[in-house]
Amino acid sequence: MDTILQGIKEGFYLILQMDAEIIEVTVLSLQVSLTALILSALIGIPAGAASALKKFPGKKLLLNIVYTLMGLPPVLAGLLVYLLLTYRGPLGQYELLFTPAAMVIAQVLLATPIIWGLTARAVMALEQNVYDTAATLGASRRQAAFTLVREARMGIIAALTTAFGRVIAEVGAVMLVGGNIRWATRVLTTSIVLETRMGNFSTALALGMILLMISFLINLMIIMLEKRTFRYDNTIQIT
Amino acid sequence: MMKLRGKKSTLIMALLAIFMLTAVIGCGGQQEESAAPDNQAAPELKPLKLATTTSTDDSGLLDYLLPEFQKDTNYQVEVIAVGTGQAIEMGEAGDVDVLLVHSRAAEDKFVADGFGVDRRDVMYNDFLIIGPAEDPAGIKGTTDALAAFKAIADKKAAFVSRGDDSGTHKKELTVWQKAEVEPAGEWYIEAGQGMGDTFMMANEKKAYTLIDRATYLALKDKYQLETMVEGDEALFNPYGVIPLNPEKFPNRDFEGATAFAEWLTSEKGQKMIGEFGVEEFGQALFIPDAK
Amino acid sequence: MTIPFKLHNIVKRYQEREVLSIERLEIPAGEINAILGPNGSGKTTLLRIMALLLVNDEGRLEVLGEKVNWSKGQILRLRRQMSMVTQTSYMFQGSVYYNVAYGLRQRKVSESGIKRSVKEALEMVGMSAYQEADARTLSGGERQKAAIARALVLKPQVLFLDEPTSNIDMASAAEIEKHILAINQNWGTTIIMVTHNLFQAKRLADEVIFLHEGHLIEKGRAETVFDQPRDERTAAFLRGETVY
Repeated sequence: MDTILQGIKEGFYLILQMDAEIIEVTVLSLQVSLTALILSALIGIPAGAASALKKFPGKKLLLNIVYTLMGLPPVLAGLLVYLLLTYRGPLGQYELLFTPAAMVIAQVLLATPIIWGLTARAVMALEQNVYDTAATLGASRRQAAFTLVREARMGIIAALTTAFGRVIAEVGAVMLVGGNIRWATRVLTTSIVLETRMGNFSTALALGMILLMISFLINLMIIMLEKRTFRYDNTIQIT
Repeated sequence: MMKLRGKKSTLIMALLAIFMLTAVIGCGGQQEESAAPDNQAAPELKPLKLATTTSTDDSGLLDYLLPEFQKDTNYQVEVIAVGTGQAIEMGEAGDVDVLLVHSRAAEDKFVADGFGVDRRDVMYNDFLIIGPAEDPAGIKGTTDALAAFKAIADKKAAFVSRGDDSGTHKKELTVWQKAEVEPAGEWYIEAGQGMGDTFMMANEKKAYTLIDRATYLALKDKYQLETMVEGDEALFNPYGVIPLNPEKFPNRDFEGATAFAEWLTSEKGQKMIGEFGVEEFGQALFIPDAK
Repeated sequence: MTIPFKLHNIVKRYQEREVLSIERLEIPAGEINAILGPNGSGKTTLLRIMALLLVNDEGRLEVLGEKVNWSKGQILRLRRQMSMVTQTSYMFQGSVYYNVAYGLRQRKVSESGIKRSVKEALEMVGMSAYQEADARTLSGGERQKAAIARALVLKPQVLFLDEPTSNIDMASAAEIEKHILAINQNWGTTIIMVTHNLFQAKRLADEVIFLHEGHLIEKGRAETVFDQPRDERTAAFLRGETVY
């Protein structure tokens, strides 16, 4: 218990000092994870909505696969991307291994099933009435799809925050495909591993605290963005 | 349809977009991205990918040598520290330019199979057997590593192995072999982790373990294990530097890899290696032995 | 075009059970039609097929003078000339304004045009005060009035109503009935209404359609059919007996 408290105290000091390496590592973590989140959302939200709304053979199987991939172990995702990007691998010629781009790719692999699966669930939870209303008011199929996604936004926002939490906190994927190279592909989580390995527990704790703070702030931003675009509160009132 | 209200949210969106773009722009080549504080009027830096072991990286030797190397040659070395097995794999896959590892048998095979060329000796450090103060196997102070291992096995005293095909692990297995003991049983714990983590685990379990001097000196103040056995030649740990074969891997920077190997084995490099650790620990962590 | 709806041999099945089977039904333009019948008689199914929300399994359907081939383009075009109000109208998340403006936005009407039309529509139903209110906080009667405004603002040729006043207070119900009459009289909108309320049907309808177990058993002018039903089942239904 002592070590933890001691570590937390030293951690705060380190944060206040704002050393260049800690800033670099924090910024890179955000860049990689936010980029991955946005790309995954661009793929996952339409895919989720389409999976929920369209009828096609193998629909149940596909969704089952997506739900399973929601739990894809990060280190496995990292290994798969690594094998893709290695020099002898299918995408080797692009020399993406050990770059932030590779880290983004691996995290997209992790985040997309989450956003896809939860969006599909959120849209499937809507009632037929929602579509009927949109349709009878003259919405085209595409417009109705947008409307359904809009009406399911609470579930979709949950999907985004879940996916973000997953990728900002994972270490297996970014360690493998990034290589934890100092000043280049080192992020908060891989730094925590390194510092722990070297026995620098207070630094490791400091990095951990920064990670949590960032997570908190980003989620706050997502919620505020939601409040700005949709002024109306939809929570159930209980008395 | 979704309407973004207010200029504030547009501003936030814009900031986010800019933030994101810097990642994308920086993600191709690392030099522009590099925020290393030493880069004032930086001349064109060339990247060089080095695969090495976690114990080498953790010792701090590279943090000490590489800035000097960069000054002399303008090569910015990107260190990827993994287990020996993975480092060699990365070399065979052609994902790095040069290896710095300590596993002679694996190194020779690497060159014999044509993956690497011009292997050079660089330095050696040694391993120690460390263990709990209680010393259940009664080996403290002996200089015979083989006998010590035998005693540990006989007494079934807890022993934590790297278990990860690393240089340290291979060394450990060689000693078991020479001592004619097959380590197995509940007392023999295969961690599958790096040296620092293994040290931590051995400390927790009050067990013996084999550790390189550099890591031991760097971490010993954090843990309670003590030196049991040292100095036996069987515990010496030589390092080799191997550039990747340019014929097999034309995409790799053979010139840079050679520059690195030559620098390490040059008088200046060897001198720096011999000085590393003296100030902090009173003894050198590595003995330069380039031929 | 005087006959907006022509149904020939329309059949709809739900898991092998026939829920609707109508040999022939024609609905002329400009009248108020009420569809009556016991539960399970297929009223809502019929309504949804005519509103192009449900595809018939067999038969030929003509809507607004076109033979329906269920192609995307045709459906969209036809739907945009009709609209619907259901028993518990779903309000989209947002303000009443957003909801009433919805149909116009899908049709890419200019924002200034939308503003004007929404204001008018809300005035018509007496809901101007609620324009910026959260649509989810409306009472039953208010919500149905908003739904009417939302449907009206589109100036549809046909307006479908599925038990629009079943769940609301008498005062609002009376107001809504007034609006329905006004729409029909002022704009000539064809109105097709499913209702359980015989009195409402008597008050509003020009033509009445009776369904029983998916079949059309009677159709006639409101003045006569209630007093002189031709089918025994209709008579039993009107007497309030359960009809099997």
